[in-house]
Amino acid sequence: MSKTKIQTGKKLSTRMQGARAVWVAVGILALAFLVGVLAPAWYFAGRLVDNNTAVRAIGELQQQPSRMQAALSSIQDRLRARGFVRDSIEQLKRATSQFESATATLEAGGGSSTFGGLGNDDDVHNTIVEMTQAWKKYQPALAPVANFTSIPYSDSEREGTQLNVDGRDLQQKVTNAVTQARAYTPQLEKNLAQIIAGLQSSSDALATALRTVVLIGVGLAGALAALVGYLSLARGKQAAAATAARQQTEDILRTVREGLFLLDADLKIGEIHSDATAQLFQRESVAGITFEDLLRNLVSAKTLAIATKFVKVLWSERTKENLIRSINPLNEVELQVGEKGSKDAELRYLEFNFHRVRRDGAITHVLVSVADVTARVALAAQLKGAQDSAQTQMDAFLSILHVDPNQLSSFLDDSDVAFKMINATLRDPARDSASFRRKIDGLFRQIHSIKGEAAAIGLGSMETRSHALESDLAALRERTDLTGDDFLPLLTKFDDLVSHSQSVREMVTKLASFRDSFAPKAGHASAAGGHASASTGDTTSRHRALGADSSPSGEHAAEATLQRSAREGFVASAQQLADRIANDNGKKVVVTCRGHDQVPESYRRPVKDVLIQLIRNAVVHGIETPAERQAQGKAAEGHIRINFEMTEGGRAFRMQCEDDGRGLTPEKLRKTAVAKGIISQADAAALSDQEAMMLVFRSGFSTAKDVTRDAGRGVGMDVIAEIAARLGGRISLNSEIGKNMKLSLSFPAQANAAGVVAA
Amino acid sequence: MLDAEEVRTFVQGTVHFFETATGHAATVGSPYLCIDKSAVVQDYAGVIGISGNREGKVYFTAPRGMLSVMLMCMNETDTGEQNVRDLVGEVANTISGNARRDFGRNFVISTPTVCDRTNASTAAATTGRSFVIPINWRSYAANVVVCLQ
Repeated sequence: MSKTKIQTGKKLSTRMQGARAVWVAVGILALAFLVGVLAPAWYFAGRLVDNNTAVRAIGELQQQPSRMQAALSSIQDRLRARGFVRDSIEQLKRATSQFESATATLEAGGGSSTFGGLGNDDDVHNTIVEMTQAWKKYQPALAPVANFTSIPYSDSEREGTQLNVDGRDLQQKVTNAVTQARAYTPQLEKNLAQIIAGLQSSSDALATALRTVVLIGVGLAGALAALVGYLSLARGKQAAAATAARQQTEDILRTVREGLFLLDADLKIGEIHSDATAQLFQRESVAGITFEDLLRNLVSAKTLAIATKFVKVLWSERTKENLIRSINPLNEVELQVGEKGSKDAELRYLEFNFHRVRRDGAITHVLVSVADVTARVALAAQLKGAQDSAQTQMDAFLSILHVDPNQLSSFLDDSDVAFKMINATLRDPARDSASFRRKIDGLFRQIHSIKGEAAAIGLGSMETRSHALESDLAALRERTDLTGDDFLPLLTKFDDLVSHSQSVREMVTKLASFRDSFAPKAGHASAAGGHASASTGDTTSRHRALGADSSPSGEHAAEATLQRSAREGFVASAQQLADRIANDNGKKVVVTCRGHDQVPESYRRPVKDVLIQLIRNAVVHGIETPAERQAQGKAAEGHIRINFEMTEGGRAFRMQCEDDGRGLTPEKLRKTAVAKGIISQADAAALSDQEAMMLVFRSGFSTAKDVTRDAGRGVGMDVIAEIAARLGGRISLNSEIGKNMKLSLSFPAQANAAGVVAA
Repeated sequence: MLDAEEVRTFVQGTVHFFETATGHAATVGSPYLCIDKSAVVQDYAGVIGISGNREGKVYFTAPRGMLSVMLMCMNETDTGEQNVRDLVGEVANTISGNARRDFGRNFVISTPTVCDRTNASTAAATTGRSFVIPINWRSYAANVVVCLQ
């Protein structure tokens, strides 16, 4: 995610927070509007209603004084006429009572139910006080009349209906009340009219106030509406910006090829994540699941536990993010995507990165980014393969620099022949376990010879490959039931060996070309020719290309030079091989070779094979360590003497190899042969010492405790026996325990052509 | 270096075909290398091309007699040219299916093509040596040839 986008996000967030504050302010304003405008309006309206109620009530009350006066006049008139007064008295009583009650209420400040509240108008209040005082003066005159309950008349036949005492008293009180009425009725009516006027004036003021409040309210409402409109507009813009920002975020999350998601403190994945996240983990959605659940079936339980612990540690403020990032356990995690064996199954490599997310300084989440690094891993593997290959080539190149060119060419030619024989052995039709087993025995000897020769000339890369192939063969030899399928791993190693041999040949060619370009044209052409021909594998052409001189004498000279060089190299390689094996086994050894120029050319390869095995056998089994030798009074360095000579008047050729080591112990050989199941205990006991010593030529016989590249498989002496048998040779073995071992091989001077070719 | 397990996938696919289609199990002979780039085509070959993590060809080749007998074992009375070709193609298709299953997307495998001796170059290796794995079935021997880089 770019920096610009992150900044835009921050601005947007700030803007949104500001907008929220403004809306809160608008809400408060609206509330203030309601309280400040509507409440007074409600109050004023209430006051108006009260005033109206009071006006109506007082308007009703205003009639009472005249009613009382009228009732008094009626009583007065009826008393004069000796008429019925009760109903007028009752009328007076009602009016008096009502007025009394109303006056008391008005004096107490009104009442919403009766007068609606008279407010705080001073004039009205004074008028009420004045009216109350007048009433209090007027009311005592009325009360005796209103409360008169007696009968005012007495009837007699003589005088007819006359006022009795009570009647006269009543008449007197009525007269008094009428007088008072004339005085107070106008005042009371005036007071009530003043009160009504006051109330109406108050109502007018209230109405004015209400109109003002309503006007202010309308104004404020308009302002508020304008503010809301403005804010809505602004909010619309912000909402559009927020939508655009959200859209951008969605676009990023949809487009980004990395898995991006947030983990909370419970290691749960948040709702928002990149689309690639679900694709990487082959899930519909990862929202809401825990990080542990996400990885559970994808990584090993151990990795899962470490990863979970690692992410939890990120929440600790004390740990430094940069430091613990270096111990991220989820780097190049191998995932099997799709059901194993299914069409869609494939291996993916994911790289997880973790970053703390902080808000106000506190860690709120961990951002996890997951990248598919399969291509990178594949490229790295490819690069590693190329580097390994280059390194192997370089090692081989360096090793061949130390190898005698003629020996190397000869070895490669021989190897090619051996490869063809190995392939022919593999190709021979085979359907049963026995025929597969026979193949293995044949292959073993071939491979062992290649390995021995590679070791002899110091070509370690070929020796190592041959040894690996030999190990596979040894493992197959242990099997009782064999099928062609078991040979597949063997074939891949054989293929590698052949490939490597070809690489070495190519390097030899390149090296020869390189040398040619620096070598003087005359006199050194033979060497150049020798290398150039090595790449073809044609020994005849190699010999022919030894020099520009193609005359018979030139060819002979070149041939002689090559043979001499080969023999000198032969001796050197014998010492080289002995040194290498001695070094591996913590020993010291000197090889002395005599008569090597006596070896007929036709015996060159078999003699070399035999010699390699003899040197290997002598150094590994015969020669003791320097300490052992010194303890026995021998020189620290062991000695191997190799002698070639023509015998029987030139009819036979003999090679002898003698070492001054520990010699052969017949009893030890018997025990080993029995232990390896080569012969039975009884047969072992029946063997003479000489026969026991010949056990070393049995296939699979070895006294070595472990298998190394030089011993342990019991195949070296087996090869010698096989060569001797093939070439019609004879073997004799002599040994003096603790002193020496001597092996002689005699061959006919003229080699059996078929035998040599087979070699 | 070619992985033995990769080669085994092709071989097992073929062996499985013989067992399920003909009812007679096949056995694997001793594998060997075809050192040069020539095609080891017997009479017919079903060839699949492979790209992706590996580049090369894999083919099944068999003599006509063997294919005819196979057809008969499959209760097919018509052992004519077309049916023999179809059978070779079918074996190649099975090998291809097995490889798809075992190697997943990392291998891109082409539709099988069938060739005979007249156009054996179709099966010729384009890179390096080939692994030739004999498939013995009854008295016959076919080959699965794997040439991958």
